[in-house]
Amino acid sequence: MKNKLFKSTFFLFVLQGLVLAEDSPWSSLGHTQFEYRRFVNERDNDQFSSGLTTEQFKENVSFLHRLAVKYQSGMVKAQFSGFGRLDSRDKERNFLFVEDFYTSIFFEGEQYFSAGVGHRVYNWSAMEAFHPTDIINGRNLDSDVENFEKRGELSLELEYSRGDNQFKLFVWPYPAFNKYPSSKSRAGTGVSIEDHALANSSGLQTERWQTGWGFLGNFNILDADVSMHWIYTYDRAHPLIGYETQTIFGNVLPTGNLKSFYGLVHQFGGTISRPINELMVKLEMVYRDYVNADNIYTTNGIRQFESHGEIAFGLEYSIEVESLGHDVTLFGEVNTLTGLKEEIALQTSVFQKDLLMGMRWNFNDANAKEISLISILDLDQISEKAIIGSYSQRLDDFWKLKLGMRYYDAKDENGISSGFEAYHEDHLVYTNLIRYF
Amino acid sequence: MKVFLSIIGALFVNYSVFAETPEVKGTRIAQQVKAYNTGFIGESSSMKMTLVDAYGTKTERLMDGIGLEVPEDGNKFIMMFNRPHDVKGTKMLTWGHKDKDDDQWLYLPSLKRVKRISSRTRSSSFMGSEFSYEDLGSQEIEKYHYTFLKDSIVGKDAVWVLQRISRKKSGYSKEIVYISKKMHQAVKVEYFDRKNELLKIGTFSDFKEFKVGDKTFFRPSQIHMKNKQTKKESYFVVLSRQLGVKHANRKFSKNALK
Repeated sequence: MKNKLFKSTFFLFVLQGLVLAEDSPWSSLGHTQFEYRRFVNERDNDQFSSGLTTEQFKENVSFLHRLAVKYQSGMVKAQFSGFGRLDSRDKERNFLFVEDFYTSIFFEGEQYFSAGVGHRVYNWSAMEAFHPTDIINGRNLDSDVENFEKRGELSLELEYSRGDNQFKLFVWPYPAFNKYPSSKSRAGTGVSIEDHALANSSGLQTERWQTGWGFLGNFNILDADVSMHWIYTYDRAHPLIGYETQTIFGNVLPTGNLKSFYGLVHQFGGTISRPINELMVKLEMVYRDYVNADNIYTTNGIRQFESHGEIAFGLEYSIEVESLGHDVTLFGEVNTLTGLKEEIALQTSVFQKDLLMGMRWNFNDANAKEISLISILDLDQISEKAIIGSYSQRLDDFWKLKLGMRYYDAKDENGISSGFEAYHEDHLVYTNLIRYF
Repeated sequence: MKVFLSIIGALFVNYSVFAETPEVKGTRIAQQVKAYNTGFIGESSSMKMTLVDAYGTKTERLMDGIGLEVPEDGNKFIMMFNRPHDVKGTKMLTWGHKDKDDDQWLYLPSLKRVKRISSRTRSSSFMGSEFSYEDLGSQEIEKYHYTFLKDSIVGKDAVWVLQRISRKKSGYSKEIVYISKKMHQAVKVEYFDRKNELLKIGTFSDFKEFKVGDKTFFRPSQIHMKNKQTKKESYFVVLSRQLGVKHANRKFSKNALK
């Protein structure tokens, strides 16, 4: 596994070298990051203390290489982007994520047509932390909870654009799965989840090729950026964790390994962003209508995917500290799941009814010094909150330093954790040294 | 009879000129400058910005830009950042407007996302330099009150000296603009802070001539911005520039930034 990853990471370096020639249709960007992270407390959750899992590392040193390469010549475009991570201790944090790997042909003028195929990451959300629209890509759940790293989704894509209006049609034939934290990862629950299943109206599917569809429209209406979509695919953002079942003498019993189940869903929704005087106002709404599936024996009882809505509302306000020449951006977001009972909502998403308040303090100097502070408060479980802070600055044209902390105030519950519970006692500090190229 | 009418006509013309207030004359010159500079169609350029701190330490920034002339409203332009490397691939799209705040979007390659941003913090420093977003953004004449101050000479250029005050929120209480009568371009601008004290002086030099159709345009290849209060300075050098480039309007859509 490690050898394979070394080869993959080496491939990223070679690819990078190929595109350095000037006057080339190729262009590239990326970075190499050294990270040291240290968890402040020993883990004392039930899985760990009851011996369900082995040692969880209190500190990690990791190396990450991220690369994005673009090619454009004539009517052909291609892009590769992805990253590989090597961890000094937790071998299950060693992996390569392909984000984009696609090619397309296009016809450009005042109108634009393109047809493309390959892996793509979709970020349709307009928000900082709550992303109701984003259910498509598989994600690394051992990354930042407010912006998970994503795995590219195999896609066929048709686009027509004219002026500020854009229409896209998608086919997604092969759903990418989530990557769960290892049993040794502090971001996890102490239980490893490596098996996956797709749930639709015909029950659980063993065949991975399952066609999904989607439509996206982007418009500029009355100074507002409006985006609308319809998606019919497997929801990777709200999986159920449980077991397959078998019936013995009339009793339904769990069988096999713990699995992540992804429900087939129709999702309708969109986003609106518009400046109103001094404020940037954002609204994101979706409704998820799950195609009926069998009951799933989850760690919290027998359940089905339940249709629901999600709304997120955000405000952003920038002020200038004239005496210092600094900018401060204040932002707030609130989200809520609708149509679900509280305990079901808790099992559905990390964020059920949460309030985010944040600030970015930009020093506006040559070193791009910036302080960022975000707090996320669970409005249903007032005792649960996260505080995420960082300081970053450029060291020179190539190097950047980032120091940060993440503090979680989350309950310690029995069973597989829901919501923020997985982060109980997982406060950490980290140092990132990043070399851009 | 013709002679009589000519004399009467000349008197009226002279009277109207004498009656022109400094505000009317300032606005008329600004409109004249705008008319002179209309018709460039589109622009492509690559630029280098050098930041010099109070101790003389230099830092460089590289960027490319494309612009589209929109005669009925403000112009559109995209700035693409190349260096420092942590901002490589970042793009900023601005739609200038005559009668309202500009619209701005930022494409962040690290997030693979286009973000709508507020253009209200116009007086903020541009990439840590002595230039502000306001200095480099759209400067539609409808956004300013103009007052003619005097005729003068800067270097070898005969200039109009105008005062302009932003109608919108600005980092400056006023700007004194020296406009070349030959090139119809600013050759010097003095920026006054909100306490009405001299903050910065921008000097525009190394003008190049561009032909687009039957019109001739002048554009500076270097802008030197000296902060008189902090002693810091920045140089903005245009490494290459083309005028008359016909960019598709679609390129200036937020959807095309990715």
